[in-house]
Amino acid sequence: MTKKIADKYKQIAFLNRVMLIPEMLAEMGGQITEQGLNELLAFLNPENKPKINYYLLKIIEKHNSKLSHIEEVEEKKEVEEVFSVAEDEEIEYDEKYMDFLGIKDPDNPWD
Amino acid sequence: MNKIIQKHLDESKKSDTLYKKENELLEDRINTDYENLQRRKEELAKAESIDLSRRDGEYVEKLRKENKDYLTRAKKSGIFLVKDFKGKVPYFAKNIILAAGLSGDGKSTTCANIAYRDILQNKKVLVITNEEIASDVYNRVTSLIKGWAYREHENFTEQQHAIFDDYIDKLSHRLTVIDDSYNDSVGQTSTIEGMEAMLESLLKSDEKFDVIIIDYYQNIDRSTKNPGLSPWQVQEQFAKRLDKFKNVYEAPIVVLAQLTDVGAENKPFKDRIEGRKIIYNVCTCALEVMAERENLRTAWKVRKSRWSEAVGQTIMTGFNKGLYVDYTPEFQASALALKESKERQKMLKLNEIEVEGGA
Repeated sequence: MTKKIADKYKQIAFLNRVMLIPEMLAEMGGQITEQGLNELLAFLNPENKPKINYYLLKIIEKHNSKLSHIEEVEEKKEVEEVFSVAEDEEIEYDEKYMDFLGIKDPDNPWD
Repeated sequence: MNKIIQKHLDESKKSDTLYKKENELLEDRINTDYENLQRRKEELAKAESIDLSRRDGEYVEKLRKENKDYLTRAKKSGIFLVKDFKGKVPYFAKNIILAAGLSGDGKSTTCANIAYRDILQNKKVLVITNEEIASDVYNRVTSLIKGWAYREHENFTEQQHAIFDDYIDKLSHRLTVIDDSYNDSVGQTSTIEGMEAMLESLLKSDEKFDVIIIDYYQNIDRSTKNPGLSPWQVQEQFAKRLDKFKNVYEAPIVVLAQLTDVGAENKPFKDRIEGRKIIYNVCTCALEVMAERENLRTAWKVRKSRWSEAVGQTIMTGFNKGLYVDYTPEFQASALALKESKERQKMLKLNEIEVEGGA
């Protein structure tokens, strides 16, 4: 077997393994640890066939967004809580400046 | 001197001038390319030197402080336009609010309304416009105050001219407008260099603004340094720069933008943004502005919101003499009455024409 063909077989085997990962993940409930992601990242190599890198990136992207989504939901909840807390507050208009501009009612300034 | 020699001397002078010009052009091109190369190298070096294991006290302390500041600001979030936007539009620092509509759906009106509401709330507002001249923005706000329609400029009386003039001074206490010919340099607000220089000087300046409004995104479409850049490349560069700027400047940024109506029914909001769509990625909140003139109201559909569950919701505002107001039941009743009265008048006019035609 020439080196070229051997490399090709190796790549096909590798590709099969990579493509199996999503199924394995599904069996595990779709969970992947941060360490697992880093391991996948280590597989990325410019010398790989573009298709291999494509699949790797897809998996990493998918699961990375899952991880960051969890962080974002927590952050979002906190910010949302604080920024809607003053929901019933009235808008405070500066009466001095309104006088200066000759405005009595901001919603009917021309009256 | 021999005529032939003179001719040769003239030609040589001419080619010498051309040569100098050519050299100048080449030098400029090389310098620009070199600057870009250096910038790319610096960015790459920074990216490569990232230290993920960094957990030192100073770094964590900085993060905690930033987080605390941010949450404090969020708590004191201002109100975007009217009360119904509270809790839906994150109107505080570190946010870019994209308000996009079809041509004629009220970009300039929105700009004037935000400026009007905010200056009355003791805020300093900066309007960066490439759509209008500075005095137009002041005149629009004055027209809101006076209840005048800001069109058919030739019909304004001398008295109105004097009022516009007076209000430029009064409004300028809190409202600053930078237009495309600010400082007599055309391109201040429509070129990437003009906009980048402005953002830089905002960071350095002691004068701080509470709100920045950019009217509008698609008009930032050229580069003086790299004339070969296409509008989308300029917009991409600007959007990325603005994204960084929003993280360090202490004010929310409102970006007005234009949507296209070509094939609108089949396209998601992001794809309907004219020019480079990356602005949608960097904004923290996106609103689609839809004017419904007949019903004297404007619908604001929340298309993106990083911090609230408002996506998909529509907020209605009433439209009263150019001013966005709360869409209260009272306003709805008076708008309906006005609409009916207008329709009656229209019918009466049509009847009169028919009677005259018949006679």
